[in-house]
Amino acid sequence: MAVERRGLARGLKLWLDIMFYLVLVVGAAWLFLTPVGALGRNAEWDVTLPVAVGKNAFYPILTLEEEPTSTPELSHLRLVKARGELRVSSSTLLHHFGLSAILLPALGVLVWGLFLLRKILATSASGHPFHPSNPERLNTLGWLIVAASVASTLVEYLAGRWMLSGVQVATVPIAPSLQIHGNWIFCGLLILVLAAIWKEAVRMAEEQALTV
Amino acid sequence: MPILVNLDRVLLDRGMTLTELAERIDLALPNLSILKTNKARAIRFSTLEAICRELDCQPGDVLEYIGD
Repeated sequence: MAVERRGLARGLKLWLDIMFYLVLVVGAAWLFLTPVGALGRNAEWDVTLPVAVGKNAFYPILTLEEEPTSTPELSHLRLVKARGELRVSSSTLLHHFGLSAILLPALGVLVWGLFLLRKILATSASGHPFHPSNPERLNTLGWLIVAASVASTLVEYLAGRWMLSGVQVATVPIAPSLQIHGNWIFCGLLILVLAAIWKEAVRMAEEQALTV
Repeated sequence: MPILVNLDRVLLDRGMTLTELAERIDLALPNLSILKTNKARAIRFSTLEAICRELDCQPGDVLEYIGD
């Protein structure tokens, strides 16, 4: 049973190793090659940013026009909380590099998170899941997720405002997206709770190891 | 640690080595060494019983309270 458990941890660690190096290589390549490619061309580049469809960035509402054939019992149609991504062709390098600069810290957060997970799994795969460093690693991971979730909400909104300040859409009202990533915040809080429990587990494991 | 383990003194009195005691009570030598060097956090009653049986002594001969 112990061998099977370690086999699972080793398998998961291998998967994480692959993801880690893949993200590192692909992210570095994207960050390096895209600006180089953009500088070499004299054309427009597509820039994508999250937007809210409708008025109001936090709770977008879009009133829809009804067809005359609609049943009279159902009226006043509104599309609420509709969000999407707006793709804009920009001939300004500043827009392109600006959004790349925003994605760079996001990539750093992802790499850091995967690094911490790899370290935790490495101790488990070697038969020492209650390594004294693991509670601190879990704590860091939890705060990383919470902070990144909050920051991404702000960054999405500010980046959207910056980009949309020069865009006037005639057909559909578009607003910068202000969306709270509650799921990710809850996930981060869950990991913080696990870190506190793990810390106690480490203390108990140390005591058990020194019980004769 | 307020509790002192006098195992080495009792072993000397009985003319027994730590290795022999470990074999007799079926406890790993490193664990018994942890106890002897006062690094242990706790001792099971079963271990204390086995030590007292083999060394023909009382728990008070092996454990001493010295306070802080």
